[in-house]
Amino acid sequence: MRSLTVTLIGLAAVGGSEPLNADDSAGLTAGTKKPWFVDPRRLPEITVLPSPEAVEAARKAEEQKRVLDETAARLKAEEERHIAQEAETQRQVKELKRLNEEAKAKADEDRARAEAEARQNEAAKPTAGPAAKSAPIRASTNIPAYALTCPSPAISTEPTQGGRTKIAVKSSCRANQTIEVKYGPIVTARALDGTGSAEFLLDLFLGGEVAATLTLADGEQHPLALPAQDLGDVTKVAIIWNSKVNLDLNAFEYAAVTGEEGYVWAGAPRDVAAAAALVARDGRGHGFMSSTDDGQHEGAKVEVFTLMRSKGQDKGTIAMALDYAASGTASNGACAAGSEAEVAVEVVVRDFDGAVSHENGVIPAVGCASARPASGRYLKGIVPDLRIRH
Amino acid sequence: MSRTVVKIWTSAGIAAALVVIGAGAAIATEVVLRLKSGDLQISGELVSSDKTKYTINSRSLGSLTLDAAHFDCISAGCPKEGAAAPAPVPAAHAPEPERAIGPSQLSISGSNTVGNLLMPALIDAYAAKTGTKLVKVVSTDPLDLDFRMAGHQEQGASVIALHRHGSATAFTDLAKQVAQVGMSSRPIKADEAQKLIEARLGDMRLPGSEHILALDGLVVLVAPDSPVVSLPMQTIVEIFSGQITDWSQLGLPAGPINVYAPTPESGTFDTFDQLVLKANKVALTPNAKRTANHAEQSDWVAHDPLGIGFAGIAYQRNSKAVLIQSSCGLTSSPSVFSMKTEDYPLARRLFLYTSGRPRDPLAQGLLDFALSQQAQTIVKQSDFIDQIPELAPYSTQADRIANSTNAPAENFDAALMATLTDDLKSRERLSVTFRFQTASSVLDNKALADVKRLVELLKSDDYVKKSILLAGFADSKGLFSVNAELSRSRAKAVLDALRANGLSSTQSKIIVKGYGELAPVACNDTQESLQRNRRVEVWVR
Repeated sequence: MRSLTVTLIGLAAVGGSEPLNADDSAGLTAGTKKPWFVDPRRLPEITVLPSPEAVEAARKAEEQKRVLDETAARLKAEEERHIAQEAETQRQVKELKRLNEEAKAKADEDRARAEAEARQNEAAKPTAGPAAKSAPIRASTNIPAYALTCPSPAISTEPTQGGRTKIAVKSSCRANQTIEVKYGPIVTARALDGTGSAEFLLDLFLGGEVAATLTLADGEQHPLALPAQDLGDVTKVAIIWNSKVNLDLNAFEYAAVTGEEGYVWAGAPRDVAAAAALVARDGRGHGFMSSTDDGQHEGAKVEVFTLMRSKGQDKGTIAMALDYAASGTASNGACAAGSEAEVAVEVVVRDFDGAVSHENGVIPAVGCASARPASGRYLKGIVPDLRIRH
Repeated sequence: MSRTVVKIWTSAGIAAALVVIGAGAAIATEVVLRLKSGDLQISGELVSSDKTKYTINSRSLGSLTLDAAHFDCISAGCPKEGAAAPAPVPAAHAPEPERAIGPSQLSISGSNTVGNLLMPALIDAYAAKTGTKLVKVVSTDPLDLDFRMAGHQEQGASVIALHRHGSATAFTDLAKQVAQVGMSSRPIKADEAQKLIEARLGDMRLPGSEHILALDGLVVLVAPDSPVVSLPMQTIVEIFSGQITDWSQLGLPAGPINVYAPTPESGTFDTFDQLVLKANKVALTPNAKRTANHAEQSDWVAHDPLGIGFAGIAYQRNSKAVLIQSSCGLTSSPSVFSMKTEDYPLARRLFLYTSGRPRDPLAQGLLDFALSQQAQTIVKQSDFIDQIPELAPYSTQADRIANSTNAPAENFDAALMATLTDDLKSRERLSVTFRFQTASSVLDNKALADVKRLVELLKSDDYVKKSILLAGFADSKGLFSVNAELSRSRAKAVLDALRANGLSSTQSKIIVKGYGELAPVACNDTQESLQRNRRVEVWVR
């Protein structure tokens, strides 16, 4: 405990015998002088112990001050860190944008050069076919002004036969814009027409419980409900691939061979009404291509075969295969050691009971400009056959 | 300077900026790109990439095209180095945790029956069980299929190469040591076993090398709209040997009989050859159209109203299986139970062969899994016959038992027949049926495995208080009294094996009886059918 020291005047007893020196006595003046009989040097210092209440109050005051000081210091440090972080983020964003612009400029240059070369080649070889245009990639980081005034679109969803959901979007202030629909991991781009409308079917090959979102061109997002009316009566087989090649999902219903009615693929896709009519006709399940894809665009490609069940059916097998040569000879990089040397495919099967299975496969390349052998065309190792049981 | 990560994409978040991708679709695969100077990295959805640039979709910055000369792609979803790469195909489901099995090159050769349906399903299930990512690599040869199994990155990926060119190739590939596991839909032959012994791979007929994977039965197939429902075995022999060539010879509408069959390397063909053709001293007609692919052959038959073929039961697919009438009046339907008991005349076993216990960890793990109880579910799902015991009521067996009354007088004992009927009619038959090595009372390899299965079953709560009858039977050769005693001694041998494998005398009430050649399951007219009748059935009450 700390002590409190005070000097008491006139109350102390004189003690000691040391003489006063001249300086000391000369310093005494009227009004401020101590009584002559008082020698300050002789006044004893008396230590008085404070009360417990006073000690506690002092302790609390000091503690509060310490806490305030520490808090202020911490806040200041955090503020400084935040400022530094902001600066760093800004620097990085700036750097990324610069690199982005640089890359785009380089890509533009490359494209311009390639186009110039192509034009030259075109001129040199008048019989050559037109050069394929590369798909544009739009970079957009600014929110356009119209987004501030354009109201949210009208979005409706409606169950449709064959395990699909019809989605309708209307937003007149977004005419001709592109929207995206994300279904599970798959993002699909759609174009609004000149009136700002679009209507399309979403194939529910992962089921109806999967999260789905519609994203507008300005980034505004809308979660989508996926109502389905007959998912319990269909089995879906989907293939998903990224390589820019044309894969065809083939279904051979009940030992059908190519060209027969039971052979279903993108070139003979059937439709939901035709499949339903066949089910009614012979009491067996039949299917249709509910999604097809020519593989000639960037990004993911999806094909889906939807089997419509016949509940009374107790057996039967639908052979499934992948055709990697429907379009003829392997070329355009989809061969040998080219950019599409191996084609990776994911297979998703959603059964009528809701069970979803996934398999991953790879189709190896064939030699450039060589046709895939007949034995290798209808590849049956990746997509499982659909076996119908009791 | 510490590295700062600009976070872009979360599972719940959507990019503010859009990427125009034509009429198609893009896959949301997140990647991380790091500036080569190392002080900056950015993550986002990979839209495309080539050797010169990456285009990603970032949440905060929108679409960015970044020069590959300045950035390294450092995450798992990055395109493969060297090979120019499309954005990788994502799993559309939460990825399983990966566990390395260790890089291996495992080659499995042999039976198309096993290798076309069952083995891929077992590999799939084994990969799922071990949390290993599996990628199938198809070949231009449909009889070959590779499985890449991803372990830890530093350990590389294991590969299982599956070659399904027929059971005979199991033994030639094992002998050449280009396969570590052989698949066969028939037992190894003596000359094949000898070659493997000479190749210092040991005797493949021993229990540690011969593994019974599943049961199966050959079914004779016709098109679904064919009028044929059942055929006598003798007619089947005459059709497949080319003695009957037109359906009109069987009183059906005229039309040439188109015979389909597997290739000579096939164990399915070998089994049919042994049980049907060679047993009747004939050979397959040279006019048969043949393929190594059983699914293909089955579809040929289904597609041809004038066709006939045969395959394992899992390959019935869209064809119709006909009932088989034997020479002694027994009619056999290709039911799961008749194949489990191996009473069906064309029942068979499916095998894996290894040179003892494999040393490769992947081969070991896969073999252990394939022979486990868990794998029996896969066997059943693949439309083969599992080895899980099941019960059938007496009524399903009554016709067969009643057939004994057709036996010649010297092979029939009315009193014992009455006892047999009394003993069985209040019981159910368990599918486990013990058979013996040829001309011996030594249990065969399947029976040895079945002993362990039965002990486990009888120890279970459902069975511990039941009354078990071990009913021994013999073939019809020899004196009835001798056969009665022989059949009882076989039943006693099974009881001894059960006790030796841990079944205590207090656990179940077990009765041992022998019924000689009564209630045959086959006609006693070929070596195969004699062997089929030498058995011990298990009846439960």
